[in-house]
Amino acid sequence: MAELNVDSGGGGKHGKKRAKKQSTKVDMTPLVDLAFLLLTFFVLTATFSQPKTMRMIFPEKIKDPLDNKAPEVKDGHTILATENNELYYYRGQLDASAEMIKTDLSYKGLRKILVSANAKVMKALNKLELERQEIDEADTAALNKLERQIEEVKGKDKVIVIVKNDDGATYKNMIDVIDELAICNIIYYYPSEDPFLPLEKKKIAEARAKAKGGNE
Amino acid sequence: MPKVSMPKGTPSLDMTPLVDLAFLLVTFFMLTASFRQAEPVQVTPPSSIALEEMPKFNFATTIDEAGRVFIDITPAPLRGAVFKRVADKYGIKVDAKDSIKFVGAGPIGMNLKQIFAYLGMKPGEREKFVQAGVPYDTSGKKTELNTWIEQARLANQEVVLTEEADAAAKNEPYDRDSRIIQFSIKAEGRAKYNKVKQIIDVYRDARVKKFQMVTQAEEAPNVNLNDI
Repeated sequence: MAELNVDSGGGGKHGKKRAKKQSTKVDMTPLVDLAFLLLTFFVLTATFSQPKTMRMIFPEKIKDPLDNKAPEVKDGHTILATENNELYYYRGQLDASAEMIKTDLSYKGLRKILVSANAKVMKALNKLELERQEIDEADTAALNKLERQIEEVKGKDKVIVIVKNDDGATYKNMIDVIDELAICNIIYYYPSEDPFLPLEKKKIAEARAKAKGGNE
Repeated sequence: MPKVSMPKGTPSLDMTPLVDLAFLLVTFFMLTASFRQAEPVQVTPPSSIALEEMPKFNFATTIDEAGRVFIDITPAPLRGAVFKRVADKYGIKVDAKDSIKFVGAGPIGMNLKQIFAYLGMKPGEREKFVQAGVPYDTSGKKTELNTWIEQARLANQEVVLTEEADAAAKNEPYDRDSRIIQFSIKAEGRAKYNKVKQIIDVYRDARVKKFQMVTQAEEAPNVNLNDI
């Protein structure tokens, strides 16, 4: 790769060989090329192979369903994940008059529902974020205080979400829903293990038919 | 006015410091980079905004679409210790050679008997070996996966207790929480959730409640309250 500009010593026409005064400098440019190529490779591979993780806590396993029932939630929000990446939502207890809403992961879908459900906390957090901009970055005491306040605010308005799924839902669907809860700062959620209730199934079928009719 | 004399010949720049710098950085990245192990199965986990790092003391589980389970335990000394304990449970003696081979074998998705055959293979043969997954049972019966989980926790507990005693003897602070083994789960996004859940239930039977779900990082969206 590197070229050495040394006399080849070929010019022996006049008999006596004489070392020519020549510089022995090596051209470093290809070496630099190589070094930076390797550097780029290592930088890219090093940063891209760092996976991130999301914490998920499952409730204690219920041994005897009669003895230890799942907590009853009065004014909860229930999200149902089912086949074809479909999501359904209803508020509170499901009865004949309750509305089952077909939703999705878009900005106007589940995000809108969850943000308005958790509006109090979202507004308080927004306010704290604005405060953060005014704090001097060197002031760690104030920043730590703000972080504590943020954590406190998150749990204040007890918005409880129950996430349910049936056999058709994929792992991605569930993680997407739980991620959506994180985006909307909802910290109380309960991954339900019960199958869909008959009424839930019926309501889902109705909502699906309604959505289909609306599209046509 | 004096004449401006132009230098003759090609202008040259001394590249040596640049080379020094570049190679220094190359060396640094080479040494710090942790290379990904060749994975016996490729899964695409879903993405999330979560930013938690992979735990250092990690019982990593990979679940593919068919529900096969692959396990990997880090760091290496713990991995070796757990292997020894699990083999002990099934009445198999592990010699030092097998232990070293196992530590470098990457994620494992097979039963214990197959592991010993697998360790005896040459690297080229290993890639051809089809792994059926670590045996587990969804009806609550104890199988090899349960033993792996239990023994990993016990081996980790042993390490933590000795380290804690050492630190106490030297009057040093000891961060116990960061040394306790955690359970990370990397599952294929397209896999049915109930299938993944059945496997998570095997862990829950072993009293594991907290899981680190491996996800691809995604930027957190800005939620504008005025829009809603």
